[in-house]
Amino acid sequence: MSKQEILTGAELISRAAMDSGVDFFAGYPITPASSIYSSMLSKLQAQGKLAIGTSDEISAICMCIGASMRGAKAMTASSAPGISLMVENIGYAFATETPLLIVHGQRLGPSTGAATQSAEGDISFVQHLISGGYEIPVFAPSSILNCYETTINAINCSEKYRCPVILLTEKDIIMSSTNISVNTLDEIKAKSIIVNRKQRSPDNDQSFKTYDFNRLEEVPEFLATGLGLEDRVVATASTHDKAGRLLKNSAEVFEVIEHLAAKIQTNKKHFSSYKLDKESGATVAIISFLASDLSAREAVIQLQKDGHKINHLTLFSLFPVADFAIKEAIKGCSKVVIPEVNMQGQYAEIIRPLLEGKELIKVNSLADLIEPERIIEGCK
Amino acid sequence: MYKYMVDLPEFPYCNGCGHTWINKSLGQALELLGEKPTKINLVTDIGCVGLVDKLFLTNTIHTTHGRSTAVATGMQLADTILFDNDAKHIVMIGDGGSTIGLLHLVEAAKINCDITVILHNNFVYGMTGGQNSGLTPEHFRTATTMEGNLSPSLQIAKLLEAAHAPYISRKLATDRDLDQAILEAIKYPGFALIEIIELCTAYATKWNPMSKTDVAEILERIDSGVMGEIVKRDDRKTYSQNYKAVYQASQTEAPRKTIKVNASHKLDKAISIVVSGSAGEGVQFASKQFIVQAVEQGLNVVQKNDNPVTISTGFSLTEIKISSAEILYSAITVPDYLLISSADGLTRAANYLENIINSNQESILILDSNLTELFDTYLKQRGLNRHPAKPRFASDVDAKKVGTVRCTSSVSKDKGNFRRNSNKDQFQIISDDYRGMNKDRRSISIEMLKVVNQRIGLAIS
Repeated sequence: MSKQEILTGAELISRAAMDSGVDFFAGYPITPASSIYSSMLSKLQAQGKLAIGTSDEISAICMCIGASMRGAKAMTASSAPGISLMVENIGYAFATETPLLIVHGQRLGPSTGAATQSAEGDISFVQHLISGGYEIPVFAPSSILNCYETTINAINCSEKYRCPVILLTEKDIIMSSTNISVNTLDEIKAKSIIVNRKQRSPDNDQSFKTYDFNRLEEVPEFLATGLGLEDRVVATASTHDKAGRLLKNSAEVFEVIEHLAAKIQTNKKHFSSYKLDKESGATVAIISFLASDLSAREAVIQLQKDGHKINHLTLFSLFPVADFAIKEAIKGCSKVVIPEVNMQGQYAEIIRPLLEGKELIKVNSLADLIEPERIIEGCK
Repeated sequence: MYKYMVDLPEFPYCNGCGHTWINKSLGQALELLGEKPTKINLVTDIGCVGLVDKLFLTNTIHTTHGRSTAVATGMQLADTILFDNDAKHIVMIGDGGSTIGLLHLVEAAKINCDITVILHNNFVYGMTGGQNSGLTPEHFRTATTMEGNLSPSLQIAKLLEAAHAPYISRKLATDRDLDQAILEAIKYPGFALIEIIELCTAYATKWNPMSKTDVAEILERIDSGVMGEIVKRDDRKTYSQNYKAVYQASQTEAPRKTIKVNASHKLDKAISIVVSGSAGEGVQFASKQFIVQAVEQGLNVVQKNDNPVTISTGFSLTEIKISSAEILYSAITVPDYLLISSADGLTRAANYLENIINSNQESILILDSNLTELFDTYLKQRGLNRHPAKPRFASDVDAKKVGTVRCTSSVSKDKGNFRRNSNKDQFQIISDDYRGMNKDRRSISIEMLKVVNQRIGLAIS
């Protein structure tokens, strides 16, 4: 057996962030995300990169935005009370096409709720975090180990599509520790590809526009602020044309707005992350994510032992909804089982329209992890 | 010679608005400075002040209300610390922005990041109809204070002085040397605030007498009429300088703590352990040691800690799961072992006890002898008895469920030391007369976990 390490999800998120080239972290401590805050602080400071504790979460996200516009790979981490404070400027980052990772460590809500109680109750909260009805990508690690890979995917997505990305986690994953094989982690790391935002080439002699694109889903080239080169950055979240000029009621302004949505929605098939285990003849599909996926995996093992055939879809990204993966997972099934640690079955309700004609079994709990037996029962 | 403003700028402000003068003076100040326009980041706030972007040929970053300072702070710190550059960062903010984003100004002044804040103070929210702001002077008439403002204005310069702002000046928008004053603020190596008093001709002058004498009287009331350079310190290093001096790339990170697996212990089923005690008893530390030993033996582990938000007082709890197989679902409802070392721990573990009593699973309880009385009370409340009442003998907690929860009390007089009972019964009481947070109590969780270890059969050093 290879050498082992005992690690928390927070440690793996931080390692992934460092390996992805994150060089700026601003944050304000909050349970359960404080462990990411402290881990990022010590890692970045050790490398002479920038980590700073701020006076509030609004400062944290704004500093991240400023740093990202300057060309840093920026990141912050909080929980629902802090994410709530960040909301206005997450929208700002979206509208100014500023790459950014926001880690959300869920705890029991509503409001201040229970700081040290894990939960998965902020799924519908993060779907429409920003005004205007736009979705920003939401990734969600399904286990402590998966924190590493999914964090890298989330950061890559934010860089490639120039947008803020939420990494939705929960106390049960970020603050729990488990043994992880050094080899396994090294293998995952070796396979990881790091994506950086496409930079404006200094040799490009075509006139530069901060938000330029040809096709709607195309991502503008990035130019950092303050370089002192020929081209200049004109950034704004107010309705603007491709050059960043504040305008209203121009065709180009509407095109830019359409582009903001299109670059996420059209490209979702490229960045959506999931694992689908299909069995021929399966009549039941389980769709799971976050720590509930661990319960689902245990249920699937037992069900298969008992001779049941199950399709199991694990989602590592929740929004935009990977409808194509869900359709594939439920094909031929009459029943879909979705476990979630929230009262409402939030994700189940969001994807219900995709499950038309199928029996939907929601397996829910307010705050405790879902017992695999309850999923097994739901599948029968 | 660089160009900083567009040709023939059309100022989008009302006639006589001070913003026009400030914009022109900034343009002149930048010409005097002579830096490349694209090495200047003009970070603008919301309000009429935020209409400035289209007039300048620098980089312009139009932000959300009040947040211009925080965006500029992040940008400036990244610029110097990460990219070793020295771009100029100028914040254009109004009196409204300065109060909604007051904390960012305080923070920027406190850490001393190298940004220049041009505060356009016209005493009202101009863009939304002339409502009163935090900087509206007392008795001043605004759309929302027609009878006169009821409270004095915030003394923003003094506030930021108290926040250690190393450079503060105050000017009138109509001052002939405004460009020089702005230039001084920009050139200052550190946080610089220049508060520019101006007239909102749409509202302020409509409702208030605004002659020279009137303005002087207002200024007198705001800050004893002090104008010009108010603060200029040379004793503060910038945040970037301090940061670079302390955190350098050469520092090496602590090496990864890897665990060598030297045995392959087999468990025929997963084992769950709950350790519940008080802060200061080393519950979580002992549990970590325990799982490290389990990993050395080739087992998989999951550890979850819980404590009240006040980490140094109250309960401290750890859930441990160990298994030969991969651990997926990790919650513990009915623990195989429940270790309780304090009254806090007993209260916190009530749900596990309840689950044990109600289940058919055989669990082992290990309790501190201090808790005998408390535990008996707990049992009594549930109509259960410990049999026999005298310690040292095997008995069933639940008389109705013979064999579900077995208990033995083994009392040793040695303080802080556990002596394993020779019989194989499953509820042990560890003797320890210490109460409260005492250094010696740190060993109690370790001692209790040793019992578990012996039973599982891990070879523990």
